[in-house]
Amino acid sequence: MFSRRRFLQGAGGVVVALPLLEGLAPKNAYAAGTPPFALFYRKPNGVAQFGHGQLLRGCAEHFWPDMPSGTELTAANCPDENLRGTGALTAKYWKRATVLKGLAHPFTDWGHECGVYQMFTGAKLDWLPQKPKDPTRGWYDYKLNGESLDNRIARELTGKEESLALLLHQWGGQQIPSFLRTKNERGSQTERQFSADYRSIFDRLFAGLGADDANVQRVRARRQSVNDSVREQISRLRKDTRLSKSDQDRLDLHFSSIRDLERLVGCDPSKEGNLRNDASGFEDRNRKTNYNETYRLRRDGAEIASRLAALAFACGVTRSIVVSPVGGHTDDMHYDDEFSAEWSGFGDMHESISHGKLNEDRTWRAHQLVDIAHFRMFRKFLDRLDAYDFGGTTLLDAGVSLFASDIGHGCHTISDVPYIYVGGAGGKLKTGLFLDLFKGGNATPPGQTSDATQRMQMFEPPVKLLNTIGAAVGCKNAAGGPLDDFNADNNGGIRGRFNQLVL
Amino acid sequence: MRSALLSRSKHRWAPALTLGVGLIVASCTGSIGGEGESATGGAVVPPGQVELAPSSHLVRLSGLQWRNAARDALLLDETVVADLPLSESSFDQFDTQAGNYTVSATTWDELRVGSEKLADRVVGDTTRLAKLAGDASKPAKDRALVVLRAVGRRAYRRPLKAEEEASLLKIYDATQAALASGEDGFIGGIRECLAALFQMPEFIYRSEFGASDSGQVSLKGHELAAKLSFALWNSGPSDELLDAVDKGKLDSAAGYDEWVDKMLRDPKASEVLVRFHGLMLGTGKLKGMQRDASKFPKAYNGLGDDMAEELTRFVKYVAVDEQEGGSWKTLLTSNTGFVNQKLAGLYDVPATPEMADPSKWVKVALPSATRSGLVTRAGIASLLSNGTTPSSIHRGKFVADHIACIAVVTAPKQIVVDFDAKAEKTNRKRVEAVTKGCGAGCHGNGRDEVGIMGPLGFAFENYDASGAFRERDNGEPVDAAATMPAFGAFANGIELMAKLAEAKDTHGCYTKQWASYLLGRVPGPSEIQALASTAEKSLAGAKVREVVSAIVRSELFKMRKN
Repeated sequence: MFSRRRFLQGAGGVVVALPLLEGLAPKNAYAAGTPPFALFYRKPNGVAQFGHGQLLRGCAEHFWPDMPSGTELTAANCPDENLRGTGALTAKYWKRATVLKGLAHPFTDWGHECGVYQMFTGAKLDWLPQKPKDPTRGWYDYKLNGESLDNRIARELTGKEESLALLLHQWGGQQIPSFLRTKNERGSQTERQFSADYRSIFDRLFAGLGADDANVQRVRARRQSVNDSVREQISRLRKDTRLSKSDQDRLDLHFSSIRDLERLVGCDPSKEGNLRNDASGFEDRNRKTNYNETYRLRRDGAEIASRLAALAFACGVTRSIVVSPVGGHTDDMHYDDEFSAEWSGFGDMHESISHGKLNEDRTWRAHQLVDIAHFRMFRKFLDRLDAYDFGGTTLLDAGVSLFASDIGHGCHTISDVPYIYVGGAGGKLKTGLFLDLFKGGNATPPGQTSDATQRMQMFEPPVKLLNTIGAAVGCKNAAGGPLDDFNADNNGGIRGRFNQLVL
Repeated sequence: MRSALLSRSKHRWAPALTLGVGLIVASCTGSIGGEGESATGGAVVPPGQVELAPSSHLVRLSGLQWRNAARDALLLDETVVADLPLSESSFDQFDTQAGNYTVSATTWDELRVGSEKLADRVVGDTTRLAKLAGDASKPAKDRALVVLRAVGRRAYRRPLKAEEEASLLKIYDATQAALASGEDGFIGGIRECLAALFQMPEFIYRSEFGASDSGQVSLKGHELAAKLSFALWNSGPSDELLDAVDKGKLDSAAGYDEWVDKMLRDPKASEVLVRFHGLMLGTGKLKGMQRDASKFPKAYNGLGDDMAEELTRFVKYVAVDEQEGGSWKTLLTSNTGFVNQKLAGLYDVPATPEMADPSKWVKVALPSATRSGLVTRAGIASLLSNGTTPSSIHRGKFVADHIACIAVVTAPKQIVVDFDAKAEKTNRKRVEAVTKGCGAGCHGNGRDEVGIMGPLGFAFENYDASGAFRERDNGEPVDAAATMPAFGAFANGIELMAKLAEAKDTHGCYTKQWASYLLGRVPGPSEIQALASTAEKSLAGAKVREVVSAIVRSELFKMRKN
């Protein structure tokens, strides 16, 4: 673990930006004004759950904690991961997490795409059933009507066109249209893909900051002098009583933008070791990978991606990152590296397991092992964020890290889709809480209905959580208030946040 | 499969092409002249009675304005700054509408990097530095002050205040303590000061306060000169203009008018005259556009770029060179074109010896029976297509929005229709089938159903998705005839363009668009009414420059509301 002060120091031990940053520190405890951020981890294929009775092929509950809704999460009540998969968060993060059950995507129908497109958008999608399978993608095509929240955060809070989208390794399953959408200046949407090219991403984010020699220090000192003058001038302008509120707000944003850049000027990528070299090595392995190595490669990819993500958040160069273990819609991996003894006999094809195609007694256990494996990869990100110690809080607390599965269970259910977040976005969100938002009704088949209205009478839509997270990191609604209308134009007008999660 | 998607953004339709199967059609209603107001206004508003819309006191320069102003402040050529980043926040139509532009962290980073590059390029070139630095025999800091006063005056659009000079010299002094080994103190110091100048809020934001704190007030002196300069030159004032301001020459109406005339003849104004039309028509989107040569025999690689070039040359010919009257009417009706060898083929223009050189552009008369004015040009017709099929709805919406200012207001209901499920053979019949019954004043077929987007779009059915002229669609004769209450009957796009050119509302629309560009904001109802006399001049054949001149001479431009 290293401290914020040490993080900001160059290798030569010269603190350049720290005095200024401390002078600008906001009122809360999240050191040096680290802005709230959001990390999104996408798990494919659902989880090993019974949920509210949605499973088709018979399965006991192996995922959700066995406790009443509203229970405070403590280290003591963190379940054994071998009994309930959510326990794989471990006691360390369990008490800093909020586990939400009883959420369902509103829009029909079966299929991974149906879930994957809605999980971070909450937006309606138009299925094009009459269209034959797209041979380049191997699956049916959908037309999505909304932007993903990670991208909304990037656009609104950083002015960038896209968020950072990390793939944990290059080898993937069938390619489907990415669920990430971005908007261009005309408001039309384009599809974009994840990238495991960590070296290029590193270069893009931290170009010129790798060295900490005297020349870099000199440049920093000179920029500091310029920034001080700019700040003086903004402050002088800001005092003009003739300015409108809108003018003042724009100057305030200008002021904070300078601070954001100073954070980058003061940030030192060497604190993540030789990340660029490690990323290059990973790139080589990606090129040489074979099917039997996929899980190992992905696990190592998570290691490097988590370092990259933590550094990017700490330096303030991005406010949102989305992580997907695979490029495709399913999760066809070898897991024998992780669970060699128990995995014996399953071989591969998690999709077959999650869909119950093997129809063995141990299938549920195999599915649970995969859930645990994903939590372990998610934990790599949590560990890395938690390593940035700000004195009482960590980088993990300054943001919100969301673990979500695109479908509820492997059998294409889109009810009881898991959403679990860790970290309270700088004290904006409640943590240490289990909530079951199920409203009642018969959710068992045929209760697994394709009727959105009927389903919404039983479950809450995830878009309300997206609104809650978006607002916590600073996104606004159309009226300028906290976000509560994310993609409302594209989802039938669903609005609102889960107020019980807001501090 | 093909589709066109119209998606709603606030009060605007944002056309976009998608891979889906259907056409989303909106129920809608229409009115002329914007939402609730007339494009041309009614009676002329007497001087002093215009009700101005409130606007920002700090207008952030657009990306292009930042680059141009920095270039001119440093007395550099365009080639020196051409590669500087210009990423911009989204804007509806004109990038001058910058009142709400912000400086995000990304923008700030770009400004910082751009400023540092500019400073490096100046101090790294002895000729460029000598243009600024003057007498090299003077002590370094004195010399630096001379540079900063001169460049700073151009950058801030006024003489530097004492505290601003002190602030820059503080940077100069701080740099002396952070010089690299062997680095010249003057070079290092002036480099940092120049880099700082273009990051300063006084450069990035153009202020508009006026003579008093409240009500509608006149802009004077440096504020007015800066506003005029960015409007007409897309850049800051020159030394000569600033000298004139310092001598009070812009304080009188005659002096101000004299400067307007002078500035409008400057090459920088010519760029603005061309650029405005490009933004209004959206021709930037033609760059790189391709059409499938297997479906469109006259299409070729580079077609989109050539069509963009043709439109640019045509606009310059009329608006800048003031040929054929130099008016908006000319742009709406002239069949003068500019083609190279390949584009001549698309227009069915006979090859001439000059065209033997494929890179040569030649002024020609396009076939008058098929081409008349901007909207009948291949570029616009092709731009408003979905790749393989003309998009009649987009074409109608384009004319309604950009030429006639007929507002089409959306209603909440949207209908998704699959084009290919329809039995109709021609594009027009398919569109009519899916838009039928949407309500009076909306789409309409222009025959038994009154409409706006239908007739305005169907008039251009003779142009396929590559912009080539066609007489048959899917084996059937093209039907481009329609009727509208505002324009009566017209047989095709040629006749519609002629009617548009003679319509008062068309010129009100043009004037309104110019005002939006020059003011940097959409004018309000009272302001639009105040432009009625300018619209009438345009209808009477005023040159484009005269329209621009009338707007920047008006109270609308020279005053603001606090």
